[in-house]
Amino acid sequence: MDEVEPQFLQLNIGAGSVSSAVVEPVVYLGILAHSVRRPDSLPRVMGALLGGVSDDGAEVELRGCFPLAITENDEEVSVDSEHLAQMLHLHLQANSKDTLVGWYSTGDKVDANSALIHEYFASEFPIVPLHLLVDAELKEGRLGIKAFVTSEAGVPSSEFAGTMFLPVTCSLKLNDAEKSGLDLIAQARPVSELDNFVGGEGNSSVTGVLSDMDSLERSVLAIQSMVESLQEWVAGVKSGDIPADTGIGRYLLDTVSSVPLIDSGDFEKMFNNHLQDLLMVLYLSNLTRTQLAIAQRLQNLV
Amino acid sequence: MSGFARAAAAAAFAAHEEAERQAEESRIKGTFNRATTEQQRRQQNSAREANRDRDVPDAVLDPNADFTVDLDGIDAAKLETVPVEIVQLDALAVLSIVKHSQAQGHGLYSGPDRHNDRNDTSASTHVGVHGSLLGLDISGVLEVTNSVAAVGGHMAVTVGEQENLTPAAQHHVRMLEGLERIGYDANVVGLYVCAPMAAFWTLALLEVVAALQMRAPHAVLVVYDPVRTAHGNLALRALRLSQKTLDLMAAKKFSFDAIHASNTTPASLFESIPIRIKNSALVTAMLSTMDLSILNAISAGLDAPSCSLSTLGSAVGNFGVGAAVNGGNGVNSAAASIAASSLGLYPNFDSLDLGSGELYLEKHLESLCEAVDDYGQEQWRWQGWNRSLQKEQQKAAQTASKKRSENAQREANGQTPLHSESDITAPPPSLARVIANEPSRLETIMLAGQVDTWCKQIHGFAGPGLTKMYLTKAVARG
Repeated sequence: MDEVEPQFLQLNIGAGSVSSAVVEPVVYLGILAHSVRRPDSLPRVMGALLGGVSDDGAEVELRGCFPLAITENDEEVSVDSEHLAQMLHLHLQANSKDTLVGWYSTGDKVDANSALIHEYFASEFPIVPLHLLVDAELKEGRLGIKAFVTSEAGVPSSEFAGTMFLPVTCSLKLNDAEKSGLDLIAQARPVSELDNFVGGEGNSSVTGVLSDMDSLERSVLAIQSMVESLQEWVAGVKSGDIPADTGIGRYLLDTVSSVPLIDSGDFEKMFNNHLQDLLMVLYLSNLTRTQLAIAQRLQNLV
Repeated sequence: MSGFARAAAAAAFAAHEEAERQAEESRIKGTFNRATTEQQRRQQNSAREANRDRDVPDAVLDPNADFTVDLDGIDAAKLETVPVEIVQLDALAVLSIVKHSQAQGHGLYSGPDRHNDRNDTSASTHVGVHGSLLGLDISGVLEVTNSVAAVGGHMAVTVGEQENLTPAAQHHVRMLEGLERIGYDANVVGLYVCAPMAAFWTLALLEVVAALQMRAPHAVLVVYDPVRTAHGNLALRALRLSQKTLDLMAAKKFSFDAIHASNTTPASLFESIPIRIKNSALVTAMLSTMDLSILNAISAGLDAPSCSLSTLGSAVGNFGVGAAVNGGNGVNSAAASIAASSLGLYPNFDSLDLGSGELYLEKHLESLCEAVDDYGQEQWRWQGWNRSLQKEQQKAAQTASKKRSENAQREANGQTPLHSESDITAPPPSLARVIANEPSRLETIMLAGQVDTWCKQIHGFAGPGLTKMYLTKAVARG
């Protein structure tokens, strides 16, 4: 670090420090599950975050988390370091690509204890820890999610030295499989606010697994309703009820032109080829099944 | 430096703490006194084992374990042991399974090869990417709240003695200990495996599941198919071995007669149990918040969070309807209100993808061919054995009739018979050897089951596939 003048208030935001966090949904679910499981006496829960840091160190990817036993009161914070070390070891065994990148807690503010725990992680592990704060009590009527890194602040090497929590942008990352998973999970939620209070068995926060056909149907219906509301809007603009918007107009133009123009003859040919392939495979698989069933029956006759 | 301004505005200062507080850093240390001697750990394990087995009527509780559960105030109906009728997965369990499969590089079509599996010297325990399901069964509903990934492809769920654990099993036991201390469920209620293309019909898996179910009668197997999931629909199924199969596995006799007698068919090997997914209120809040943040991003005209819009947009873009929601600047609140009507986290437009089907079908056909070949080979092996059996039986019958005629001749001559009756009917040792060498029919059943599963999957794929094709046709015409 550069030479600093001790008399001045310092604020270090070093180049290459963490500026954003990308979080996989499983991390949030893990934190929320931990929050649900906490004893009533605990105001908040804490745990460790696993993941990786991008090559330039600017982006932290959070891929996993595990709960920790951290006890705190007004005077003291204690981390069960042995438990932490063991769980970390076990988790890294299972996910060799991950490393410890920080810690999470529930709640809606960073307090003095947070600073202590943060320092603990910074001193015990060779990392620049990231702090993820999840407001599991929905103070603002929503699930507030904030991520922080710390920077030194105040007058260095004096009694006024301290740590400042700097917020970093925090976004969600989904890949295909997780999207499918979350898609189904998202279905298992109450449709209206009323359902929240019904509770018990048979409420709508439960869903089954869909067949491929049902899933396709849902997608098609969704697209249909999107097109319909768009048509409504366009009709409204045409009749003058809704003011025109050039931005939307451009998007619509782009959309319409993104439908590839294929010669109808070519399309027909491609279509028929695919159709025949599909039907052939279908026929073959049905034939195999039948053969197998016959073989089974014959064996039982012998 | 907008980042700087924002940072300064929202920064939480912890600067003016007293020196006393700073000193506490040194006090952040282990306050728990861990019982780490091997002896104590083993006691813990046996206590848990006893705990896990409490459904088994004759489970012997470890006398050293101070295992007391206060059952007062719990609905008696909930404590009753009834067969599991439904498997209820928490969102966390579902995504953990998905994530584990991904972390192990089980991308598209990189599943374990059946042939390699069989040649592997330790194939008996190799079941691929898997882990255990943690939770509890309450009045017929198996509630799975969490899952623990296993290390390596070998079986980690401890089904044998606690002595000389494999590293994987040790990892598993320690992990459960760790979770238990925080107050998580540490009760193993089943097993999950990642089976690309639902290739879960392996002997190794069958044996593992049988061992698990014999120990914990309520255990289930959850099969996750990453390949089908990548097509836009989460593919999970819950299975358990039927009682017939368990009896068969316990007897360890897989001869033609034994299997015929127990009337085991590929279809009756596994029973399938319906799955449902349940969210806690907090997860519901999270999902709603996600929807909200997407909307905010649109109406604010900012770049959408990498969350869904970019991915959703590209998926929809493939289909050629999507540019309206893709991208950034200049989308005002009118656009947002349009998007709002239908753009949540779901549905997933990946299922509308037209191109991915080819590879999926191709891979299926390939595997199908291999499995059918293997099936033929197994059949041929058994027929070969059957022929040699018949030959031996003929030989034995000939010898017996020869001995009989010798006896008859001697009786006619007034001499005592040369061979006793039991001597004649006793099968010769060569015949007994052939009978004992009957090839196991289990492999055939597994192969038949696998072929059947694949055929069904092709069938299940074809319906939506055809629909999509006609949909495209309609769009192209329109």
